[in-house]
Amino acid sequence: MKKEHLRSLILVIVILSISGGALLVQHMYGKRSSVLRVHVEVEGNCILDVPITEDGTYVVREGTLTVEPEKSRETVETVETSGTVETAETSKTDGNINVIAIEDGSVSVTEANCSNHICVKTGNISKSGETICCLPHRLIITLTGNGEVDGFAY
Amino acid sequence: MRTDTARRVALLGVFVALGMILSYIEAMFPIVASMPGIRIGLSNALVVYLLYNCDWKDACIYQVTRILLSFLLFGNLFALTYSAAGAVCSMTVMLLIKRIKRFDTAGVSACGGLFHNLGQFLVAYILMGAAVVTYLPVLVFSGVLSGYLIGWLSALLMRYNIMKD
Repeated sequence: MKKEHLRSLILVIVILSISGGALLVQHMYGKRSSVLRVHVEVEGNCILDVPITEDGTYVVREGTLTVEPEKSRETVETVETSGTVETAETSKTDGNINVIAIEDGSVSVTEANCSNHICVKTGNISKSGETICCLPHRLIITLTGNGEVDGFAY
Repeated sequence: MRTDTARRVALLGVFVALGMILSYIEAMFPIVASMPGIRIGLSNALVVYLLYNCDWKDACIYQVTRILLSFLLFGNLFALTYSAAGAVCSMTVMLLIKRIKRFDTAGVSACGGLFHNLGQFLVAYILMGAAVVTYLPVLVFSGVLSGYLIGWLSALLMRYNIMKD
């Protein structure tokens, strides 16, 4: 009788420690896989798909992507202080421009030269499934999370 | 006693009712209810009890009736698939492990809990694809732990054998 108790206990402890170890590893290294991704489409073409944890500023010009180096963020900020409406008018000749900023786990369109600026007014998005749309430029930013298990059993 | 069919039917009916109430009660614990696929499995204590104090047929009848009744009451087809897969796996494994007589009640129950969750995992894998693999360690951990504790609980219950007297 005692032997059987001991065997069961050892079996349970072994399985628990193996799965517990796996859980621990998953917790430490698995974070990256469960992170949200920023997915940007222009006219149905995906032009950007990066994890939300990577801070950065991206400029979309006429449906093509140019990654802004750090120094250009300052120019963006200086432009912002001079007023969005003005920059929108002055940069009209450069084509359709949206500036997408990924910062501290949220995404926003900081600047655009579209007609209604709804994308800029949408503000920050940070949850799975949220979107920013710029209809004049046919640009859609979506936050995609990968498959969280949902559903339960009795 | 086995010949007394009416008594057996009545007692199994009581067991099924008790099992369903226990499932309901444990669903009210907020921490447990918030984790998909994780249950304490209080109603499984009765399966182990039946497995040891009666025979495997009683335990199987109990499982089938309980799962079908849950389906009729809550009408969740997914839940039916999951619990049926879990029950088939755990019953098979518990019968085998009980037969080799190497483990005590809690050990048998722990294996039952483990394979209950593995059965559900298999269904989830078929239905939802490879994304559920990340959930496997949680299922293994919780299945073994709750199965072991439930095994102790049913060992305590087994001192009171109402099926035999």
